[in-house]
Amino acid sequence: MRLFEKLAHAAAVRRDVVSSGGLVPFGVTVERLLSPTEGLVAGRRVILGGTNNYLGLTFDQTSIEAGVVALRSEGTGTTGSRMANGSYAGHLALEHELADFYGWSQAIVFSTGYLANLGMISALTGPGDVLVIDGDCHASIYDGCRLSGAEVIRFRHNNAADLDRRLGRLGERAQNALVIVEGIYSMLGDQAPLHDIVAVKNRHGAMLMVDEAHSLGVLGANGRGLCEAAGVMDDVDFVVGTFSKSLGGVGGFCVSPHAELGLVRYASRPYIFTASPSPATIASTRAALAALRSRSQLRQRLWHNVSRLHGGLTALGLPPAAEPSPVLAVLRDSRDQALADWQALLDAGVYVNLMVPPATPGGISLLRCSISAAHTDAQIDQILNAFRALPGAGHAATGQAALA
Amino acid sequence: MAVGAGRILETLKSRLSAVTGNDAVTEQTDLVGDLGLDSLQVMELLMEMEDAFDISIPVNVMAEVRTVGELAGAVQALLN
Repeated sequence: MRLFEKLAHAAAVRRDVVSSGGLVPFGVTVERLLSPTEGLVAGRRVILGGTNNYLGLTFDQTSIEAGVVALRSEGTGTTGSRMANGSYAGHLALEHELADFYGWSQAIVFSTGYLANLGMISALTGPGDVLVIDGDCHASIYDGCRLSGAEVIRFRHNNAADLDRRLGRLGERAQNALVIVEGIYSMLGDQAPLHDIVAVKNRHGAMLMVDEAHSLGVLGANGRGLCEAAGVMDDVDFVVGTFSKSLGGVGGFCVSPHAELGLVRYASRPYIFTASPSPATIASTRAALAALRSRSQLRQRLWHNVSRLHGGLTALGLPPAAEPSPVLAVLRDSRDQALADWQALLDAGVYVNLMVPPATPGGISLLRCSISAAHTDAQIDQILNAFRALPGAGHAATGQAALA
Repeated sequence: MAVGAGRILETLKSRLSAVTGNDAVTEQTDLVGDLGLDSLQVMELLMEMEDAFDISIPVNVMAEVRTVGELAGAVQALLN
């Protein structure tokens, strides 16, 4: 059937990206979890170095127990959308706790982070409105833009001057535009120049949404994200985020100082027409949010690990593509080189993410590490040892000397 | 703004030749089918045209555009 032809194209791409070990790096099966940072992949014990489990909370005892209690008392699923029978006391409590965490009046919980972007962008904007987004924004932002039917203008990645030019061309329409950026970008781990972006959007009178998916619990004195770290909380209109990274669960949210956020519930199809998160998911996420707020040592431990790996990779002559962050991307010369290196790392007991075109900006190929507070120094060093054996790594720089 | 269709087309052709190394770009050339541009290259091309002619080109415009000539027509329409 002709309908299947585009799948045949996907199959051809897949055939093209098979490692020497016979693995397709996309959608590798983790056969068994051994801890937040270890699992069985292709039958061997590996360090999980690409999981977004930034605070290492997936096996947090308090979160697990909260989930178990909710599972026993409220059942396996809500069997309904938030707009029907799927809003339990826990969902509302989590919304209250998120709003309190940000010091804002409003919060909405969505079923995934992807749906949070779809639900917010499509409810806030429609045909005739303008969305001005960073060119490197996540697919969920692009898909939210499509669902909205609004005009979509992109600006060059992390370039506030380029945003300024594009808002300027919109003239008076800029006052009704929604600008969307991310706190930390997931491919290279680079941060938005939020101070400059805020100044530009204020000058044009536009609104600003910041996706803190990779920066919640990671940046800011209290872990609120880049908005807090950059000192611009008062200039941000919407923060969206996910429970599936630093909070170790699944789900998404939006928080805002605007009372109108509450009305989004009635206008957001991705909120209305999908089942709400399960009671156990909500309960575990609430416990994880409490841990994020009360245990700043998790964030300190994460940044200790980030420094160790970033410093080590730099000393090896494999400097990550951006400033230190829990996402560290090591660029490779070609897709084939990246694929071979990915397999070599796996053979050395280290799983990282392989990123190749067309998923990457600018056609680059890279090995993407994401670091967890749960990684030990010994695990970080094992990751470094695996990278040391790759082509281009400086073999002379070894051991602790490389970390100094 | 009086920008001729010819200038739009020439700007597009020269950008595309630079990106793809293909000197035989015509109005009928298909951006994806003939030149093999990926989605990111198409987006970059749009931003370059925005800056070259000081206009806003909504990404949505590309849903209707397959060929170089159609893109030139879309740019012309936005200029008018």
